[in-house]
Amino acid sequence: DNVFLYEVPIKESLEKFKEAGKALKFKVCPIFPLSVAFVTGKGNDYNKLHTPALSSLDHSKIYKIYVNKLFQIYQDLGDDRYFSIPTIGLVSSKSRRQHFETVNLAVDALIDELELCIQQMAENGDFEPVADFEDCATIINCLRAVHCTLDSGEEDSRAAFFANLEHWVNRADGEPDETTINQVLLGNVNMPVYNSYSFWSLLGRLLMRGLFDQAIGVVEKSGLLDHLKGNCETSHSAITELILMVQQYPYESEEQFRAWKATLLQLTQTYADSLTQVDQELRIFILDILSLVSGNRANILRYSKEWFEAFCGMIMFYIPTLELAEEYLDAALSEHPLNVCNVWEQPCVDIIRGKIHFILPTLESLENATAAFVAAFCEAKGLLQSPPQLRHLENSQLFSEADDLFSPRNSMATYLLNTLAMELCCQGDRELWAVSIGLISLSPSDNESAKRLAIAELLPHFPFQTNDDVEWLLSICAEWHLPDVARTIHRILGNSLLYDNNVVEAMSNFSKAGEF
Amino acid sequence: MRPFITGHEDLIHDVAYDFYGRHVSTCSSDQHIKVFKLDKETNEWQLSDSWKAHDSSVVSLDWASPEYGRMIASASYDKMVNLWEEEPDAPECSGKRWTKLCTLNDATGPLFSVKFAPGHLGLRVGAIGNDGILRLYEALEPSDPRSWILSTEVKVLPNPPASHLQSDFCLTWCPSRFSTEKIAVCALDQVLIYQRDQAGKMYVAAKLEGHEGLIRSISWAPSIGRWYQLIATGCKDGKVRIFKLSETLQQDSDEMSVDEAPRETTDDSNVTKGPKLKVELLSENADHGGEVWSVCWNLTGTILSSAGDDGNVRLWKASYMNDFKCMSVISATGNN
Repeated sequence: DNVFLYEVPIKESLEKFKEAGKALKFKVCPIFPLSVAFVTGKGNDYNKLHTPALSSLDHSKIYKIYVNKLFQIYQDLGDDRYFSIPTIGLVSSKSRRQHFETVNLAVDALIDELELCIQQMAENGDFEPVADFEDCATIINCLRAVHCTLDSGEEDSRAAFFANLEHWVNRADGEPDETTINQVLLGNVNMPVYNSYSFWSLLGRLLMRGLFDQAIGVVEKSGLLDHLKGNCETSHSAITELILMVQQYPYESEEQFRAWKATLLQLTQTYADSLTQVDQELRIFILDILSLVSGNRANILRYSKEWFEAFCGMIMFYIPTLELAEEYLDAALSEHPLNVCNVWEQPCVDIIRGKIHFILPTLESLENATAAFVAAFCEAKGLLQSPPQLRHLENSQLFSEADDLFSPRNSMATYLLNTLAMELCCQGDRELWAVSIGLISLSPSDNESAKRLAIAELLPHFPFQTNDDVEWLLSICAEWHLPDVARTIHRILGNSLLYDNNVVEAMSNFSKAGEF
Repeated sequence: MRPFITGHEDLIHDVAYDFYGRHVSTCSSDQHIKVFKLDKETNEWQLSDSWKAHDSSVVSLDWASPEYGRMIASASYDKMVNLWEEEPDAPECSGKRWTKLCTLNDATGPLFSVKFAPGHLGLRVGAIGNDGILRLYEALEPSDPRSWILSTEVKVLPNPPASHLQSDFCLTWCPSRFSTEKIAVCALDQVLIYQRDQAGKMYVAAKLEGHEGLIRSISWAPSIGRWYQLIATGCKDGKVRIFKLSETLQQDSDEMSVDEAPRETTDDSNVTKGPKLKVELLSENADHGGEVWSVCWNLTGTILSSAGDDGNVRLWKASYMNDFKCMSVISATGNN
């Protein structure tokens, strides 16, 4: 629920209000955030107009810049806005990979802009929308890791995949944070930290999240190595070897991973077969961590706290492939169920299962512009059905109507982009207006006639202020062949100039409108 | 933005924004109209002028399209429609900034609603009141809006309602520049869609049925990017209804689509009428749990607002599959 900022229009109880025959009314302003509610009723309390706090974002400069940047990214995609596999004409096996690479770069750019926007809003003290934007960022980070990294086929795509996976998981909940780590390390003064389960659990979680430097730091700070050095050479060398192996994690190559894992398995086996001079409990902890890093699924599930941590752990240490992603996900969820209080968790599960269209309503509820552009990028990647793919449904009852900008036959991305365009027009901001017209022009729908009519209806409402604005308006009229709209604009301009006592210019505009 | 005090000394009946949303006007039972303009720096409304506009309650007002200058039409229980034009050289808040252009004095009962036609139809204004007659006026010369003629008079109700009974009337024009001229008129509990035929006469092209009480408010959505039209009504029966109007060239047997012999318009049955209208009830919601007092679409026809007796303002938006869902509830009471 939104609330009125300073005071509510209805002061008395609802029963009294109704008994008195008063009426609550609402009038929508062409600049939507300026809409007002008022009460038709007697008394001083009822001679006021009330503007509700519809959205704190509407007038935020940071948000306007963000939307503009997203549009530029989308515009710069050029023909890569559309998903197509050429089978006639110039056919190149590279073209598909190049297309994916371009769209992946666009997704990267979107995430950069989103994270910058979040940072700037937080610095600005706009904490209210930051939470929603953070949830968006988590969902899109997951989307990038799972669907927008490996398919570009670039040499470093595998390394980028791990980096994106870690970025998603670690930004998602910000755990384990510095406070948690310090709590574990300074937890119990009567017992060395390495004898506690919380230490080994923390170590396991850091490793599964790919936070290797932090994991090594925790081991060094715990005094474990010093303790083992004097007491058990076997355990000391096992931990030292583990640290070395972790530092050499093979991000780049699958073959190297096999060799790396074989070495780790051998290390684990050797340690398991060796006699040690440490407590049985500590030996089990060391063995657990060794086997976790060797890809032991039971230990990965046991040492993880969240499903996404376990999922990441299995990808990192079991077999690093997305082909087994659903299997990993099922295992992770069986041990750690979804937390439904976190908005982003279900969409991330849907992303891993490949059900991209399921995430769009959540994204839309969090932030419209981000949702629309994410849908457009997903459609460009072939992750969502595009208008040509929906054509086969043409004869079904569902799509019996002629296409318009909001027809389901135009795809979800088209719907979201057009809805966003309409929403931006209602903010009374000239820059967002330009984005809006641009979105309608570029939206994936191939129904140029519907686009033209929509632009014709919208253009006269553009809140022009400067000569540049007018030139822009008329250039759009020329581009879309809208002479009638141009005449309307000239008439509006003529009247506006007349009010400013600029008679000569006013006459010139009336003349251009065909009035004389 | 803080709530701002209009300064009216009696009930506020109507609020109207200008084409760009930079001015807002209010009218009241105190017989005054007030115009406020938006301060671009502070984003606050500032009083531009206030004047006594009628000899009785002013119940409805509307701004003309900016193609015709800054004009306001006001309707009052004094049975008159007054047309006002802004005089930019007159000082602000002097009570002289808005001068009366013309008084349209044909109604035989209190007026309830006045609305300018969308700009592409020319400088026209429609009004309806307790006599149950829709009157459309047209400026003889749009560049000199002092001369007006009564161009159309349509008897919406066969007989005016008894004066001791509660009644309500309202109207809304089809804003689409790519559709033939249409106007939806609410009279008590019925809604009629009038369309102009090729002979220039208005005839009933469709009815919006299903209302079980006085219709309090009607709003025709801008149909940007859509081939069909949407009309919303707010009714005393507690329901917000959204109707879909599609224009077809074929005849069909839809119950709500009528093509009656033009009433009081023409005897010539050979006159080519406009496109056939197919009406569907797209959505019907009783979420307000009581009387619905106002419905209003946003600039692009994508969000509908409704306000009702539950003390809430609801915002409705169509989903991907084109069903309208309440996307936001704004509480106007102190209880929440």
